Amino acid sequence: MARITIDPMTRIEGHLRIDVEIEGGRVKDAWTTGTLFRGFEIILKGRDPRDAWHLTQRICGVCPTSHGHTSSMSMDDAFKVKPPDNGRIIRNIVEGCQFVHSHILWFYHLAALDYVDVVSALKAQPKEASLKKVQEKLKAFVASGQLGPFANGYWGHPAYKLPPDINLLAVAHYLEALEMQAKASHLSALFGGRMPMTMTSPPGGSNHVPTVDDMANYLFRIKELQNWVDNVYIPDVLAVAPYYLDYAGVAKGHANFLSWGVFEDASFDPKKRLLPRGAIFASDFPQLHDAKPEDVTEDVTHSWYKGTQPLNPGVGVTEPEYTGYDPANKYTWAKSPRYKDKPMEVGALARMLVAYLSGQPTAKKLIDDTLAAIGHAGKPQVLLGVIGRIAARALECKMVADAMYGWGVEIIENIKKGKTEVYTPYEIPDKAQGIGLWEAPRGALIRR
Amino acid sequence: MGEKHLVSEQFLDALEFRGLSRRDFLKFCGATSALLGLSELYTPQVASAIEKASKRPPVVWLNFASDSGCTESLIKATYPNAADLVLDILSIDYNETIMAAAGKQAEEVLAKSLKDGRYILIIEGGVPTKKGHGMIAGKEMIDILKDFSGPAAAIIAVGSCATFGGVPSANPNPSQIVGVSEALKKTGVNKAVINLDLCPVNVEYLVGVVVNYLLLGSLPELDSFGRPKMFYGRIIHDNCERRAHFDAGRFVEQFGSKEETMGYCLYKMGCKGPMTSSECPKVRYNDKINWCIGAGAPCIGCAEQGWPDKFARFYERLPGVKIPGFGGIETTADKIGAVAAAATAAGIAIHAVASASSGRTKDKEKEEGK
Amino acid sequence: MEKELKYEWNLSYRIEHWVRVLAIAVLVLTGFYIHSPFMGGGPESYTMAWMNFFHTLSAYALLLGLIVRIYMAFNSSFDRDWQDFGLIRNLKAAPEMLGYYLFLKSSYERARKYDALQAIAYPFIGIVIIFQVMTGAALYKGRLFGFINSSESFRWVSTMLGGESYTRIWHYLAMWVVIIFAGVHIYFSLLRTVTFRDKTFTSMFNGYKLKRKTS
Repeated sequence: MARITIDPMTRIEGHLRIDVEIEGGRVKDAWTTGTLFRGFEIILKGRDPRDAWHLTQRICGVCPTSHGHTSSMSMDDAFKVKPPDNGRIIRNIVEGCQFVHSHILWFYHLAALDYVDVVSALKAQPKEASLKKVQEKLKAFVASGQLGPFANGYWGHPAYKLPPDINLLAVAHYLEALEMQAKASHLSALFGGRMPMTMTSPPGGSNHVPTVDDMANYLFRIKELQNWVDNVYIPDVLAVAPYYLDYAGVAKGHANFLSWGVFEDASFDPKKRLLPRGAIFASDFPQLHDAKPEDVTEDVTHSWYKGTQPLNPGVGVTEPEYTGYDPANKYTWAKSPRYKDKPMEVGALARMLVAYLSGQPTAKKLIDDTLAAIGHAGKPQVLLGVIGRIAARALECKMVADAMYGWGVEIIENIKKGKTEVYTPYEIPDKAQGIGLWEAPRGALIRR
Repeated sequence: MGEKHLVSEQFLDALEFRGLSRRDFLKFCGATSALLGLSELYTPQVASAIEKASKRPPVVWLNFASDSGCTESLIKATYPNAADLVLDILSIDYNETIMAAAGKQAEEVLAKSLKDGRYILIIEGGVPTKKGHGMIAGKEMIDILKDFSGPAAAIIAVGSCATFGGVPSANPNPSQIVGVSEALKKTGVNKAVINLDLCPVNVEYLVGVVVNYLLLGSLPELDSFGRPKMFYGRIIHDNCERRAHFDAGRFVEQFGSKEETMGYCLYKMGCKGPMTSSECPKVRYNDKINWCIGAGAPCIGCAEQGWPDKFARFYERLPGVKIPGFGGIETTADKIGAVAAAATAAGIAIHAVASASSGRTKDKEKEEGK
Repeated sequence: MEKELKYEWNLSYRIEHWVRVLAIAVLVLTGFYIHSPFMGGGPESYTMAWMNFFHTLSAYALLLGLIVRIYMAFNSSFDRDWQDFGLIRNLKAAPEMLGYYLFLKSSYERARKYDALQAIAYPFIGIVIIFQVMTGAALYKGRLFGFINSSESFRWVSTMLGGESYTRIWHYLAMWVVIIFAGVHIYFSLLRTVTFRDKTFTSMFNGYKLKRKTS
């Protein structure tokens, strides 16, 4: 029985250590360790509630907007205030830009290096001039001996299954995607001032008043992103997938799914969000259940905190107490969230499955078409696992990018009708409680 | 001085086939020269400096108590863009967020960099000083910093966390996080740190410092907080596009109001521009598409030492005042002033009434010799 | 107790006093505006710029007035009064004076020109003014007297007070000290004028005050 420690785990946000125990070529047990503690729960106490959304954005620099929005929504709830229509849409747009940016970044720059062999691309025999140039560039780069971020990868390992030509295409798109994810972020900055760390989603709505000029700029930029997702991202996923078909069904996990829902609808009903709220359990798949925040608990049995009882985050306690790495006892800074005492998968696959089962028309069509294309029409269960996750991200990216175009048009319609309000003023009560339930590109968020 | 003397055809060709045209490249060099405060005449020299660095300068980018927002900021670069930075200008040998290797492989890369030395050490994130609160590969972050500071050619702290601790070091600072300069002091290392404050760092500042280093072979002049004067020499307020409205006394009183659509000054909304030094209004963010105040958001002061605590509450002009001895009751300076003035007025009134009713109408100086 | 009119304040003392009154009035008014702009500007106005301009101008006047006053204390051709401000002596005499004003004592020791409370309060206000000048300089982003880079040279003040926001708070609170002083100061001059009929109030205009005859 061999034990492997991977520390640092790279191409993620944050500091993670993974320990796995292997028996007969299979993982028998595993431990994940968050190795950094900053204590936002403690820092936020006693502050002006309107500052919270700025601070919570700093939890994650890859998905700051989601953390900020969730915080602002919990304040909206506490102050009993509802953002006006344009305020709601601007928040959606800023969030949407982040989703598109995040999915592109995740697929091309974080995940792809596990599937794409950069060095093998040198062996490709491209016909297209642009690909030839990329290859020459790559040759010069490799010849320089300074591999930079590509140094010491598992290049040439048999688990890299793509032929050289597709590897080269992926490398070319890796570079192109670097530009596209930046463009998606620039688009957040158009409304948010800057990205990461947008500035215009305080409790009450938005403090950016969109002009017609903004909207024209926006529509052309989002069109470019939409085209790229349709013509590059989705085809790339389809090009890579056939070589990794044996991964289908691998890493199914617990197959319980949770989504709080994201992208607010005019009704402010979480079940009518673009990606709606709901939960799915492996036990009665594909039955859709309501998702309720009261059913969430956080367990600290194996985390470096005081306390023994699993608590709902609303009454959660965070008292750090480092006791050293001990896999049998306490070994991580991360708390273990459970829903109805079950571990849940969150993220794009969870959201898309919930949307599919809720009958959200766009999601339903996208997934049905995909299932039909791979010959599993009407069998969403084939999506469980690693390939499904990659596909769900790509489809969600397309869905969000398409919706974003529509939101831009909605704002223009509102301006036409003279509905230009973006912010609802409010009084801050002395005592109040609020909750925000939202989604980051990589999973569900609760903030109080 | 023609550009050809300094920039070889070969290099320009090399740029073109990557999709960066000669014009774009010179445009970038021009922008960089301007950023560095150099005249246009230097543009060919900037180009040549970048080219001459034929061995791309190695960069070791360490993430400590951060949120990777500065790495995100790095890959949002435009001129040069992220691909230029990664493939042509720098050799980013270690950055956990983008590197292919992980675990043992990553550790090997890091060990090699340490052995080779002379890398640009870029630190993102503050340094936890409480035991166990920040570890990578089983080592305390502060020890990693100490080991890697020695062979570094230059140390650049990017973002508020790395400079002075930032958000995670806000009161009560649960992990006792400090900035890089202070952490080095604690470990007894005496080495200059370039602080690129802002949350997250503006990637153009970082590129500016690196090009400055490649071009002049030296590091930029720093202010008393260790920040390059070229980027932190002026306050936001002085270059703000809304300054005319400030001078005119035209202010936004509420978000989303008519005043806001007219671009009035955000001073009364708590804008920290008047006390924050940074070139934000000029450099802006994300391909210069916008910046905080441009989008309608009051500055929160993230370029300054002591942020966020010394700048919270972000939507008020001044922070709250804690009155000692009253269980830390928090109030505003306005209330203190009003209460003190009211107390004085009441005191005077009482005294006046007492004077009148006591019938004291004569001065009672003591007679001399009495 | 015989009394006579004495020439208490010559012209330069009176001018210096009123320059300071004017400067403080302008500083307080413009200061409140800068603290929280209470009126909007029209399309062609430069309200805040003018407020800032007069604020700075008055600050110079206040500082230079203080310097002139200190000079006069040591080298006035009319009345060198620096010895009147001896802190220890005045602290010893203060309780009696305070007791008199609080109706606890029926009389007090005569002073040459300033009673003990005055002799303590005036230098104290001088120190407050210096504090205001220093914090103001730390907040000012221009060049003092045209050549001192004020925010750089006075950054230590902000650092000491815990950052620029706090410098602002201290600057603001110290203004209230000045306002309260001014209130009490005017009250006492009126009190003496009305109840003791010694012409204290008008003495600051014409220079003459009714004092006990010293032979």
